[in-house]
Amino acid sequence: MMKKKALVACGCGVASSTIVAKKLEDYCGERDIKLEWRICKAAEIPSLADMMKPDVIISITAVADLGNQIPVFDGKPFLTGIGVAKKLEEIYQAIIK
Amino acid sequence: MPVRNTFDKQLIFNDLKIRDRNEILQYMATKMYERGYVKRTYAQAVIEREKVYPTGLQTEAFGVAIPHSDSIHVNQAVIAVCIVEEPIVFHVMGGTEEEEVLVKFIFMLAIDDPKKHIEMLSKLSVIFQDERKMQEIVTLEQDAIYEKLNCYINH
Repeated sequence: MMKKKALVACGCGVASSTIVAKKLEDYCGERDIKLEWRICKAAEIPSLADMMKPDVIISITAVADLGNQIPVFDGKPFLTGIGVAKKLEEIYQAIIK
Repeated sequence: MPVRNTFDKQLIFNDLKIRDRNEILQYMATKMYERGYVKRTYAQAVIEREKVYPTGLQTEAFGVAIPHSDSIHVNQAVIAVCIVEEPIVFHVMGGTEEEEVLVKFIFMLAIDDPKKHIEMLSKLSVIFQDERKMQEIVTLEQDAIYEKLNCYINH
């Protein structure tokens, strides 16, 4: 099983990011990817991205491009359920790239 | 392991006459405080956080909001639920200042440790994204809402 890493951010790094991370973990697990994830506050993204070097970043709140080649995705579809299938596949494709 | 007592029968509200967003948040948080789930600081923390990081979401069935705070204001995890008669304006999570959503369901979350409640949070999101379940819940009385939600979150 291949191991990949995701950093998932929301306003206070409590509820929304956990919901997003769990869905992504399940989706990847079904495709034989072991996803390790860490949740954080949006403000912590730059420092944690440096430290953790995730394959993808998913954020509920808008974030500026970090200029470090790590793709950033919008996590809202995971919460509304609208457009979630497409978003999951998009992120998955970026993870296995 | 199933998640037990995620909800509290005393924290299911469907007959509040309050129309103001902050007043509703204050009311729900105060009831959670009285039941011992959160600290005195929780109400203010939730209201302040909602201003900076709003939690309104447009799902298939209804507008939903999941106001919550940093875990330092929480004693014990619980989800309080309020279904309002007249939808209330919330700002959209991760949206711009102009983006608003009319919210029918408020799930106020007290989370002490997100890692401990991954399944619960994940299942809650599955429930509020499910149009059929939500359309059903909205027609029920307080006790039945409690039973239904507990059933959905434990299975």
